[in-house]
Amino acid sequence: MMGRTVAVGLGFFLWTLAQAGPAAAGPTDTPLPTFSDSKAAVSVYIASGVIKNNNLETDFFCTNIDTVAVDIGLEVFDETGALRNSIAGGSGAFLNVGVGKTVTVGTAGTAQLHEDQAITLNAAGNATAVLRNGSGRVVATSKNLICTAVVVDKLHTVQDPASSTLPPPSLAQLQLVKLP
Amino acid sequence: MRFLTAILGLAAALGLVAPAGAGISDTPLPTFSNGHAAQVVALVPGVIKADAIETDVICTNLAPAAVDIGLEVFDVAGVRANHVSTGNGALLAVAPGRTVTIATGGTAVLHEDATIALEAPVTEIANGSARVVATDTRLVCNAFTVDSLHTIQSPNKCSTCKPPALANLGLSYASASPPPPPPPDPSSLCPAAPQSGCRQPTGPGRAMVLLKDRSPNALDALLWKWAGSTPTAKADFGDPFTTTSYALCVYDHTGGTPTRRFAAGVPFGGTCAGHPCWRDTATGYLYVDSARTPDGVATLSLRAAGTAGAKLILQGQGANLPFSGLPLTLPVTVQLTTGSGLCWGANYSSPSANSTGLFKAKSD
Repeated sequence: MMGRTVAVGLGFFLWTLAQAGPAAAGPTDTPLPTFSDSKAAVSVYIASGVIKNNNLETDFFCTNIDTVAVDIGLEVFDETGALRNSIAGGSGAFLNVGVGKTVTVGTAGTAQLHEDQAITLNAAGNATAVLRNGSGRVVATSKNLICTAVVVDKLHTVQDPASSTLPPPSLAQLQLVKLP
Repeated sequence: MRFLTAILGLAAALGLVAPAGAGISDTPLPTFSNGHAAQVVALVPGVIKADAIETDVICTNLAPAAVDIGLEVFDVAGVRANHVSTGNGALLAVAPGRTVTIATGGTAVLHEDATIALEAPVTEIANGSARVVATDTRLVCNAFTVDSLHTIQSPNKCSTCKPPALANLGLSYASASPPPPPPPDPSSLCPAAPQSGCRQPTGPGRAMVLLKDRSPNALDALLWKWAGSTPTAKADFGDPFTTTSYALCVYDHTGGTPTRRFAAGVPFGGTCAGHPCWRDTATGYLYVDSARTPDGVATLSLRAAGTAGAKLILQGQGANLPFSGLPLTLPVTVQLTTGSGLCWGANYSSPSANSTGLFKAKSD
């Protein structure tokens, strides 16, 4: 009886898989994560234009303006809408960020800016280590954050023009949308 | 009167009178090539397509269904330089969650999915504007002006290679309505201990659970079936399209007390391959997700059967299943919950298998 049950179940499973496709996608459709300390996250900011491509990277800076420590994370999505890092697994996540503290998470380390953490992309979505056309979502255990983001050239630094001819890095702010 | 006409004619000739329906707020909204009407999503000042500078607009679809997205650019006089109705600057059926870039031209450093060909009489935009239009206003966008020629080279290899100029244009959204909130993590629907009052199966053996915890985790599998006699109406399942998420909660008696060992969520709404993950059936609902996110669930079938009860089947597979190790400490309780008090469950005290790789049991 159990064997037949399993066989029927597997048949149903294969039938449904044949009709299925990718799952919930993007910064509003993807369920919110839980941090590794089991605290549930809320969505604080979203942004389009998160780029990790052609030596451009994206850095997010967030300051805890709550009255207690909070967990803060950045989720990044590629052009297909696939979530490319796991807050639950600690990628892009900071636990117990103290009151008034600022943390920076980037899609990689850059020569010019300071990053407290760089996100390691998983193999979902386009399955490449590239976000040519990405989006992002700042999540936390509190809405009381202020954040900003920049797209930045990861190779160049600012040098004294009196002693160097090297050019400064490309840098542009990324407009974030704060969620209510 | 003749004098006034002459003055107006001269002014028009000098370009002092704007053309009818000019600019990003006055020009009638377009229709996409598929016949879908467009709405204004955002306005962008400072659009440039001149002197090797291009403008890239990057947008992410936050709506639950596919949308058509277009970018209309206007020159210094407010003359529209492209028609999305002919496909110039338009991308059709952009799926939920996807991000696309429409630009005034190709650039060496950014990626563009579509580039606009300026239409006569516009040949250059030295000082222009743009508007993002779409079939749904639930988009989030960013706009950049970017040097079209330079790329970022390592200064160690090329000390004279200059990186591209890049600046954000700070677009303004036309709608003040916020994007929809994301659904909660459905696995959080499982409380720390089993709920009381869950609907029970018809009798012994009418529910079963199979957990395979294998290495690699891609071989993990889950099958849960439940058949009950409590009268169940389709309405009891809530509205999985808009509000009702589900979670399968597995508890054992680790340490002698009921302990949550495993929670697999099934979120409401969502899109799979451009179609809703949830489907309406004659007697209930069917959830299908081949990507098995967030928690490894591939299918959930909810079938109401009136006074005959309900038949429920949940299946999952792969590394997303958040197994925390086998064997389980008996007795085991498995419940499917909506988080709103309604749940379907059973206890399992006599499994036919309970090892490090397999738990298989019929209900008590």
